[in-house]
Amino acid sequence: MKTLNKTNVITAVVLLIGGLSPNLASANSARDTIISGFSSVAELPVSAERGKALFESSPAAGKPDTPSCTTCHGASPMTSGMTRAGKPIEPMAVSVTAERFTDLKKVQKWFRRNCKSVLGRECTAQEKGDFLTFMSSR
Amino acid sequence: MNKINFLLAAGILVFASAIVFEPARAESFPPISNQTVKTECGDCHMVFFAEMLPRQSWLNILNNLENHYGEDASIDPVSLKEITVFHTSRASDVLNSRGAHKWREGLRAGDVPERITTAPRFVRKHNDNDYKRMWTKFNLVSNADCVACHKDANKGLFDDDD
Ligand code: HEC
Ligand code: HEC
Ligand code: HEC
Repeated sequence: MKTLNKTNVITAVVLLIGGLSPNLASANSARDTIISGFSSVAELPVSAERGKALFESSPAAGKPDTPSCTTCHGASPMTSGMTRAGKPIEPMAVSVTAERFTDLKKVQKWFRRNCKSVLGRECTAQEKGDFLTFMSSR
Repeated sequence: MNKINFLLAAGILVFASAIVFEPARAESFPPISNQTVKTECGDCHMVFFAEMLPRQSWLNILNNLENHYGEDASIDPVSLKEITVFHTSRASDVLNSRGAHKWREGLRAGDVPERITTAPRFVRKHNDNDYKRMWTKFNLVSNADCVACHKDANKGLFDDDD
Protein backbone atom coordinates (compact mmCIF):
# COMPACT_ATOMS: atom_id res chain seq x y z
CA MET A 1 0.00 0.00 0.00
CA LYS A 2 1.49 3.29 -1.12
CA THR A 3 -0.27 5.64 1.25
CA LEU A 4 0.95 3.77 4.29
CA ASN A 5 4.56 4.87 4.09
CA LYS A 6 7.13 4.72 6.80
CA THR A 7 6.27 8.12 8.26
CA ASN A 8 2.62 7.17 8.54
CA VAL A 9 3.45 3.95 10.28
CA ILE A 10 5.68 5.74 12.73
CA THR A 11 3.01 8.36 13.37
CA ALA A 12 0.47 5.61 14.00
CA VAL A 13 2.77 3.82 16.41
CA VAL A 14 3.55 7.03 18.26
CA LEU A 15 -0.15 7.87 18.51
CA LEU A 16 -0.88 4.36 19.78
CA ILE A 17 1.78 4.50 22.45
CA GLY A 18 0.74 8.04 23.31
CA GLY A 19 -2.83 6.84 23.73
CA LEU A 20 -1.85 3.92 25.92
CA SER A 21 0.77 5.34 28.17
CA PRO A 22 -1.49 7.65 30.21
CA ASN A 23 -3.43 4.53 31.28
CA LEU A 24 -0.26 2.72 32.12
CA ALA A 25 1.10 5.73 33.97
CA SER A 26 -2.04 6.12 36.03
CA ALA A 27 -2.10 2.37 36.80
CA ASN A 28 1.50 2.61 37.97
CA SER A 29 0.84 5.62 40.13
CA ALA A 30 -2.30 4.04 41.65
CA ARG A 31 -0.22 0.95 42.52
CA ASP A 32 2.62 3.05 43.92
CA THR A 33 0.17 4.85 46.18
CA ILE A 34 -1.16 1.54 47.48
CA ILE A 35 2.33 0.20 48.13
CA SER A 36 3.43 3.39 49.94
CA GLY A 37 0.30 3.11 52.07
CA PHE A 38 1.50 -0.26 53.34
CA SER A 39 5.18 0.61 53.57
CA SER A 40 4.50 3.79 55.55
CA VAL A 41 3.14 1.70 58.44
CA ALA A 42 5.48 -1.29 57.99
CA GLU A 43 8.35 -1.87 60.39
CA LEU A 44 11.05 -2.52 57.76
CA PRO A 45 11.52 -1.14 54.27
CA VAL A 46 9.47 -3.28 51.85
CA SER A 47 11.38 -6.09 50.17
CA ALA A 48 10.69 -8.04 46.97
CA GLU A 49 12.84 -10.83 48.40
CA ARG A 50 10.54 -11.36 51.38
CA GLY A 51 7.50 -11.00 49.09
CA LYS A 52 8.83 -13.83 46.96
CA ALA A 53 9.36 -15.98 50.04
CA LEU A 54 5.79 -15.35 51.18
CA PHE A 55 4.43 -16.21 47.74
CA GLU A 56 6.37 -19.45 47.53
CA SER A 57 6.04 -20.56 51.14
CA SER A 58 3.66 -23.28 52.22
CA PRO A 59 2.56 -22.23 55.70
CA ALA A 60 -0.50 -24.54 55.58
CA ALA A 61 -1.74 -22.72 58.65
CA GLY A 62 -5.15 -21.85 57.27
CA LYS A 63 -7.68 -24.00 55.49
CA PRO A 64 -6.57 -27.51 54.48
CA ASP A 65 -7.26 -27.12 50.74
CA THR A 66 -5.20 -23.94 50.36
CA PRO A 67 -1.73 -24.52 51.84
CA SER A 68 -0.01 -21.80 49.74
CA CYS A 69 -0.59 -18.72 47.57
CA THR A 70 0.65 -20.86 44.70
CA THR A 71 -2.26 -23.30 45.17
CA CYS A 72 -4.37 -20.90 43.10
CA HIS A 73 -1.91 -18.41 41.60
CA GLY A 74 0.38 -21.13 40.24
CA ALA A 75 4.08 -21.63 40.84
CA SER A 76 5.15 -18.62 38.75
CA PRO A 77 3.78 -15.06 38.88
CA MET A 78 4.37 -14.88 35.12
CA THR A 79 1.79 -17.51 34.19
CA SER A 80 -1.92 -17.99 34.82
CA GLY A 81 -3.26 -19.75 37.86
CA MET A 82 -6.56 -21.52 38.46
CA THR A 83 -9.16 -21.42 41.21
CA ARG A 84 -10.28 -24.62 42.91
CA ALA A 85 -13.48 -24.35 40.87
CA GLY A 86 -11.47 -24.43 37.63
CA LYS A 87 -11.60 -20.76 36.62
CA PRO A 88 -8.37 -19.29 35.21
CA ILE A 89 -6.64 -16.49 37.18
CA GLU A 90 -4.60 -13.93 35.23
CA PRO A 91 -0.88 -13.86 36.04
CA MET A 92 -0.01 -11.80 39.13
CA ALA A 93 3.16 -10.22 37.68
CA VAL A 94 2.57 -6.57 36.83
CA SER A 95 4.69 -6.87 33.68
CA VAL A 96 2.17 -9.39 32.34
CA THR A 97 -1.10 -8.09 33.81
CA ALA A 98 -0.72 -4.32 33.83
CA GLU A 99 -3.90 -3.52 35.77
CA ARG A 100 -2.89 -5.60 38.80
CA PHE A 101 -3.05 -4.02 42.30
CA THR A 102 -4.53 -0.70 41.23
CA ASP A 103 -7.78 -0.74 43.22
CA LEU A 104 -7.21 -0.52 46.97
CA LYS A 105 -10.60 -2.00 47.86
CA LYS A 106 -9.97 -5.03 45.67
CA VAL A 107 -6.44 -5.46 46.98
CA GLN A 108 -7.58 -5.31 50.62
CA LYS A 109 -10.49 -7.69 50.04
CA TRP A 110 -8.30 -10.38 48.51
CA PHE A 111 -5.49 -10.02 51.05
CA ARG A 112 -8.07 -10.42 53.81
CA ARG A 113 -9.61 -13.56 52.28
CA ASN A 114 -6.51 -15.23 50.91
CA CYS A 115 -4.30 -14.59 53.93
CA LYS A 116 -7.00 -16.09 56.15
CA SER A 117 -7.35 -19.09 53.82
CA VAL A 118 -3.59 -19.70 53.60
CA LEU A 119 -2.07 -18.30 56.82
CA GLY A 120 -5.10 -18.58 59.07
CA ARG A 121 -4.80 -14.86 59.90
CA GLU A 122 -4.77 -11.48 58.20
CA CYS A 123 -1.51 -10.38 56.59
CA THR A 124 0.44 -7.51 58.15
CA ALA A 125 1.09 -4.26 56.28
CA GLN A 126 4.69 -5.45 56.00
CA GLU A 127 3.68 -8.68 54.27
CA LYS A 128 1.30 -6.85 51.93
CA GLY A 129 3.92 -4.27 50.98
CA ASP A 130 6.53 -6.99 50.42
CA PHE A 131 4.16 -9.08 48.30
CA LEU A 132 3.13 -6.16 46.08
CA THR A 133 6.73 -5.04 45.70
CA PHE A 134 7.68 -8.52 44.53
CA MET A 135 4.82 -8.69 42.02
CA SER A 136 5.64 -5.19 40.72
CA SER A 137 9.24 -6.28 40.13
CA ARG A 138 8.07 -9.15 37.93
CA MET B 1 -26.36 -16.57 -9.15
CA ASN B 2 -27.61 -13.00 -9.14
CA LYS B 3 -28.08 -10.87 -6.08
CA ILE B 4 -31.74 -11.72 -5.56
CA ASN B 5 -31.13 -15.43 -5.82
CA PHE B 6 -28.24 -15.12 -3.44
CA LEU B 7 -30.31 -13.23 -0.89
CA LEU B 8 -33.07 -15.77 -1.23
CA ALA B 9 -30.68 -18.64 -0.70
CA ALA B 10 -29.12 -16.95 2.28
CA GLY B 11 -32.55 -16.29 3.71
CA ILE B 12 -33.58 -19.90 3.36
CA LEU B 13 -30.35 -21.04 4.92
CA VAL B 14 -30.81 -18.81 7.95
CA PHE B 15 -34.40 -19.94 8.29
CA ALA B 16 -33.50 -23.61 7.98
CA SER B 17 -30.67 -23.42 10.45
CA ALA B 18 -32.94 -21.66 12.88
CA ILE B 19 -35.18 -24.71 12.75
CA VAL B 20 -32.41 -27.27 12.91
CA PHE B 21 -30.24 -25.60 15.51
CA GLU B 22 -32.83 -23.95 17.70
CA PRO B 23 -32.27 -26.13 20.76
CA ALA B 24 -35.85 -26.97 21.52
CA ARG B 25 -34.98 -28.55 24.86
CA ALA B 26 -32.27 -26.13 25.84
CA GLU B 27 -32.68 -24.85 29.33
CA SER B 28 -32.25 -21.13 29.73
CA PHE B 29 -32.04 -18.53 32.46
CA PRO B 30 -32.11 -14.75 32.12
CA PRO B 31 -28.47 -13.55 32.20
CA ILE B 32 -27.52 -11.96 35.53
CA SER B 33 -27.30 -8.18 35.37
CA ASN B 34 -26.91 -7.33 39.07
CA GLN B 35 -23.44 -5.76 39.21
CA THR B 36 -22.79 -6.57 42.87
CA VAL B 37 -23.57 -10.24 42.32
CA LYS B 38 -21.39 -10.28 39.21
CA THR B 39 -18.35 -8.77 40.93
CA GLU B 40 -18.64 -10.58 44.26
CA CYS B 41 -19.67 -14.03 43.06
CA GLY B 42 -17.90 -14.31 39.73
CA ASP B 43 -14.17 -14.25 40.51
CA CYS B 44 -13.67 -17.88 41.52
CA HIS B 45 -16.33 -19.54 39.36
CA MET B 46 -19.12 -18.53 37.01
CA VAL B 47 -21.96 -16.62 38.64
CA PHE B 48 -24.37 -19.45 39.41
CA PHE B 49 -28.06 -19.01 38.72
CA ALA B 50 -30.18 -18.43 41.79
CA GLU B 51 -32.97 -20.51 40.20
CA MET B 52 -30.92 -23.66 40.78
CA LEU B 53 -31.21 -23.84 44.57
CA PRO B 54 -34.04 -23.33 47.07
CA ARG B 55 -34.19 -20.31 49.33
CA GLN B 56 -32.86 -22.06 52.44
CA SER B 57 -29.80 -23.33 50.55
CA TRP B 58 -28.90 -19.77 49.57
CA LEU B 59 -29.40 -18.52 53.12
CA ASN B 60 -27.06 -21.22 54.43
CA ILE B 61 -24.43 -20.48 51.77
CA LEU B 62 -24.58 -16.71 52.11
CA ASN B 63 -24.53 -16.76 55.91
CA ASN B 64 -21.32 -18.78 55.92
CA LEU B 65 -19.10 -17.17 53.29
CA GLU B 66 -16.06 -17.22 55.63
CA ASN B 67 -16.12 -21.00 55.22
CA HIS B 68 -17.14 -21.32 51.60
CA TYR B 69 -16.36 -24.85 50.40
CA GLY B 70 -12.94 -24.66 51.99
CA GLU B 71 -12.21 -20.98 51.32
CA ASP B 72 -12.81 -17.56 52.77
CA ALA B 73 -15.19 -15.76 50.38
CA SER B 74 -16.48 -13.21 52.89
CA ILE B 75 -17.78 -9.84 51.68
CA ASP B 76 -18.83 -6.52 53.16
CA PRO B 77 -22.27 -6.43 54.88
CA VAL B 78 -23.87 -4.03 52.40
CA SER B 79 -23.04 -6.19 49.38
CA LEU B 80 -24.05 -9.30 51.31
CA LYS B 81 -27.51 -7.89 51.93
CA GLU B 82 -28.06 -7.04 48.27
CA ILE B 83 -26.77 -10.45 47.16
CA THR B 84 -29.01 -12.23 49.66
CA VAL B 85 -32.12 -10.41 48.44
CA PHE B 86 -31.17 -11.21 44.85
CA HIS B 87 -30.70 -14.93 45.47
CA THR B 88 -33.60 -15.57 47.82
CA SER B 89 -36.08 -13.77 45.57
CA ARG B 90 -35.03 -15.87 42.57
CA ALA B 91 -34.65 -19.20 44.38
CA SER B 92 -36.05 -22.40 42.83
CA ASP B 93 -38.90 -22.57 45.34
CA VAL B 94 -39.69 -18.84 45.10
CA LEU B 95 -39.49 -17.67 41.50
CA ASN B 96 -42.22 -18.61 39.08
CA SER B 97 -40.18 -19.35 35.95
CA ARG B 98 -39.58 -22.38 33.76
CA GLY B 99 -35.99 -22.72 34.95
CA ALA B 100 -36.89 -22.44 38.63
CA HIS B 101 -39.66 -25.01 38.21
CA LYS B 102 -37.22 -27.50 36.70
CA TRP B 103 -34.77 -27.16 39.58
CA ARG B 104 -37.59 -27.49 42.10
CA GLU B 105 -38.54 -30.90 40.70
CA GLY B 106 -37.31 -33.78 42.80
CA LEU B 107 -36.81 -31.68 45.93
CA ARG B 108 -38.84 -32.96 48.87
CA ALA B 109 -40.12 -30.60 51.54
CA GLY B 110 -37.24 -29.74 53.83
CA ASP B 111 -34.50 -30.73 51.34
CA VAL B 112 -31.67 -28.19 51.50
CA PRO B 113 -28.95 -29.14 48.97
CA GLU B 114 -25.54 -27.75 49.88
CA ARG B 115 -24.54 -27.50 46.25
CA ILE B 116 -26.02 -27.14 42.79
CA THR B 117 -24.03 -30.23 41.86
CA THR B 118 -25.84 -32.28 44.51
CA ALA B 119 -29.31 -30.92 43.68
CA PRO B 120 -31.60 -33.59 42.16
CA ARG B 121 -31.76 -32.02 38.69
CA PHE B 122 -27.99 -31.78 38.38
CA VAL B 123 -27.52 -35.37 39.50
CA ARG B 124 -30.16 -36.64 37.07
CA LYS B 125 -28.68 -34.76 34.09
CA HIS B 126 -25.04 -35.64 34.74
CA ASN B 127 -24.86 -39.32 35.55
CA ASP B 128 -24.12 -40.79 32.13
CA ASN B 129 -21.03 -41.63 30.10
CA ASP B 130 -21.18 -38.37 28.11
CA TYR B 131 -20.49 -36.51 31.30
CA LYS B 132 -17.61 -38.74 32.34
CA ARG B 133 -16.13 -38.60 28.85
CA MET B 134 -16.22 -34.78 28.77
CA TRP B 135 -14.84 -34.54 32.29
CA THR B 136 -11.78 -36.57 31.27
CA LYS B 137 -11.40 -34.88 27.89
CA PHE B 138 -11.40 -31.36 29.36
CA ASN B 139 -9.22 -32.40 32.28
CA LEU B 140 -11.55 -30.81 34.83
CA VAL B 141 -10.96 -30.24 38.52
CA SER B 142 -14.50 -29.38 39.59
CA ASN B 143 -18.10 -30.29 38.78
CA ALA B 144 -18.88 -26.62 39.32
CA ASP B 145 -16.87 -25.71 36.20
CA CYS B 146 -20.10 -25.61 34.18
CA VAL B 147 -18.53 -23.33 31.55
CA ALA B 148 -16.04 -26.00 30.51
CA CYS B 149 -18.86 -28.14 29.09
CA HIS B 150 -21.62 -25.56 28.56
CA LYS B 151 -19.90 -22.85 26.52
CA ASP B 152 -22.83 -20.44 26.87
CA ALA B 153 -23.46 -21.06 30.56
CA ASN B 154 -22.66 -17.44 31.44
CA LYS B 155 -25.44 -16.36 29.09
CA GLY B 156 -27.80 -18.72 30.88
CA LEU B 157 -27.88 -21.37 28.15
CA PHE B 158 -27.51 -25.04 29.03
CA ASP B 159 -27.97 -27.06 25.92
CA ASP B 160 -28.12 -30.79 26.44
CA ASP B 161 -26.09 -31.59 23.35
CA ASP B 162 -23.12 -29.27 23.21
C1 HEC C 1 -8.08 -20.22 46.93
C2 HEC C 1 -7.40 -19.62 45.82
C3 HEC C 1 -6.39 -18.52 46.14
C4 HEC C 1 -5.34 -18.57 47.03
C5 HEC C 1 -4.88 -19.74 47.87
C6 HEC C 1 -4.71 -17.28 46.97
N1 HEC C 1 -5.37 -16.46 46.09
FE1 HEC C 1 -4.98 -14.51 45.72
N2 HEC C 1 -6.59 -14.40 44.48
C7 HEC C 1 -7.41 -15.46 44.13
C8 HEC C 1 -8.44 -15.01 43.24
C9 HEC C 1 -9.56 -15.87 42.62
C10 HEC C 1 -8.24 -13.63 43.05
C11 HEC C 1 -9.12 -12.65 42.25
C12 HEC C 1 -9.02 -12.85 40.78
C13 HEC C 1 -8.03 -11.95 40.12
O1 HEC C 1 -7.69 -10.89 40.67
O2 HEC C 1 -7.58 -12.30 39.04
C14 HEC C 1 -7.06 -13.28 43.85
C15 HEC C 1 -6.54 -12.00 43.95
C16 HEC C 1 -5.51 -11.64 44.77
C17 HEC C 1 -5.07 -10.28 44.98
C18 HEC C 1 -5.66 -9.02 44.33
C19 HEC C 1 -5.13 -8.86 42.94
C20 HEC C 1 -5.40 -7.49 42.32
O3 HEC C 1 -5.24 -7.37 41.10
O4 HEC C 1 -5.74 -6.55 43.03
C21 HEC C 1 -4.03 -10.32 45.88
C22 HEC C 1 -3.27 -9.14 46.44
C23 HEC C 1 -3.84 -11.72 46.22
N3 HEC C 1 -4.73 -12.50 45.53
C24 HEC C 1 -2.85 -12.16 47.10
C25 HEC C 1 -2.73 -13.49 47.51
C26 HEC C 1 -1.75 -13.93 48.51
C27 HEC C 1 -0.73 -13.03 49.22
C28 HEC C 1 -1.95 -15.27 48.69
C29 HEC C 1 -1.23 -16.22 49.65
C30 HEC C 1 -1.14 -15.75 51.04
C31 HEC C 1 -3.06 -15.66 47.81
N4 HEC C 1 -3.48 -14.55 47.11
C32 HEC C 1 -3.61 -16.92 47.74
C33 HEC C 1 -7.28 -16.75 44.59
C34 HEC C 1 -6.39 -17.19 45.55
C1 HEC D 1 -12.80 -16.90 46.95
C2 HEC D 1 -13.39 -17.64 45.87
C3 HEC D 1 -14.91 -17.71 45.82
C4 HEC D 1 -15.80 -16.67 45.82
C5 HEC D 1 -15.52 -15.17 45.90
C6 HEC D 1 -17.12 -17.28 45.73
N1 HEC D 1 -17.02 -18.63 45.66
FE1 HEC D 1 -18.54 -19.96 45.47
N2 HEC D 1 -17.21 -21.50 45.47
C7 HEC D 1 -15.84 -21.39 45.57
C8 HEC D 1 -15.24 -22.70 45.58
C9 HEC D 1 -13.75 -23.01 45.70
C10 HEC D 1 -16.30 -23.63 45.46
C11 HEC D 1 -16.20 -25.15 45.47
C12 HEC D 1 -15.85 -25.72 44.13
C13 HEC D 1 -15.75 -27.23 44.22
O1 HEC D 1 -15.85 -27.80 45.29
O2 HEC D 1 -15.60 -27.86 43.17
C14 HEC D 1 -17.52 -22.83 45.38
C15 HEC D 1 -18.78 -23.38 45.24
C16 HEC D 1 -19.96 -22.65 45.20
C17 HEC D 1 -21.28 -23.24 45.06
C18 HEC D 1 -21.57 -24.71 44.90
C19 HEC D 1 -21.17 -25.18 43.52
C20 HEC D 1 -21.47 -26.64 43.35
O3 HEC D 1 -20.54 -27.46 43.50
O4 HEC D 1 -22.64 -26.95 43.10
C21 HEC D 1 -22.18 -22.21 45.10
C22 HEC D 1 -23.68 -22.34 44.97
C23 HEC D 1 -21.42 -20.98 45.25
N3 HEC D 1 -20.08 -21.28 45.29
C24 HEC D 1 -21.98 -19.73 45.33
C25 HEC D 1 -21.25 -18.55 45.50
C26 HEC D 1 -21.86 -17.25 45.68
C27 HEC D 1 -23.34 -16.97 45.72
C28 HEC D 1 -20.83 -16.35 45.79
C29 HEC D 1 -20.92 -14.85 46.03
C30 HEC D 1 -21.50 -14.45 47.29
C31 HEC D 1 -19.58 -17.10 45.71
N4 HEC D 1 -19.88 -18.42 45.54
C32 HEC D 1 -18.31 -16.56 45.76
C33 HEC D 1 -15.13 -20.20 45.65
C34 HEC D 1 -15.68 -18.93 45.71
C1 HEC E 1 -18.09 -32.49 32.30
C2 HEC E 1 -19.07 -31.73 31.53
C3 HEC E 1 -20.20 -31.02 32.27
C4 HEC E 1 -20.11 -30.18 33.35
C5 HEC E 1 -18.87 -29.80 34.16
C6 HEC E 1 -21.44 -29.69 33.59
N1 HEC E 1 -22.30 -30.23 32.68
FE1 HEC E 1 -24.31 -29.87 32.52
N2 HEC E 1 -24.48 -31.28 31.10
C7 HEC E 1 -23.45 -31.99 30.54
C8 HEC E 1 -23.99 -32.95 29.59
C9 HEC E 1 -23.17 -33.93 28.76
C10 HEC E 1 -25.41 -32.78 29.60
C11 HEC E 1 -26.45 -33.53 28.78
C12 HEC E 1 -27.14 -34.60 29.60
C13 HEC E 1 -28.30 -35.17 28.85
O1 HEC E 1 -29.39 -34.63 28.95
O2 HEC E 1 -28.09 -36.15 28.15
C14 HEC E 1 -25.68 -31.72 30.55
C15 HEC E 1 -26.94 -31.23 30.83
C16 HEC E 1 -27.21 -30.14 31.64
C17 HEC E 1 -28.51 -29.54 31.82
C18 HEC E 1 -29.80 -29.98 31.17
C19 HEC E 1 -29.98 -29.30 29.82
C20 HEC E 1 -31.25 -29.74 29.17
O3 HEC E 1 -31.72 -29.00 28.32
O4 HEC E 1 -31.75 -30.81 29.52
C21 HEC E 1 -28.36 -28.50 32.68
C22 HEC E 1 -29.42 -27.53 33.16
C23 HEC E 1 -26.96 -28.46 33.06
N3 HEC E 1 -26.29 -29.47 32.41
C24 HEC E 1 -26.43 -27.55 33.96
C25 HEC E 1 -25.12 -27.61 34.43
C26 HEC E 1 -24.61 -26.77 35.49
C27 HEC E 1 -25.41 -25.72 36.22
C28 HEC E 1 -23.31 -27.11 35.67
C29 HEC E 1 -22.32 -26.56 36.68
C30 HEC E 1 -22.76 -26.47 38.06
C31 HEC E 1 -22.99 -28.16 34.71
N4 HEC E 1 -24.13 -28.46 33.99
C32 HEC E 1 -21.77 -28.79 34.58
C33 HEC E 1 -22.10 -31.83 30.82
C34 HEC E 1 -21.60 -31.07 31.85
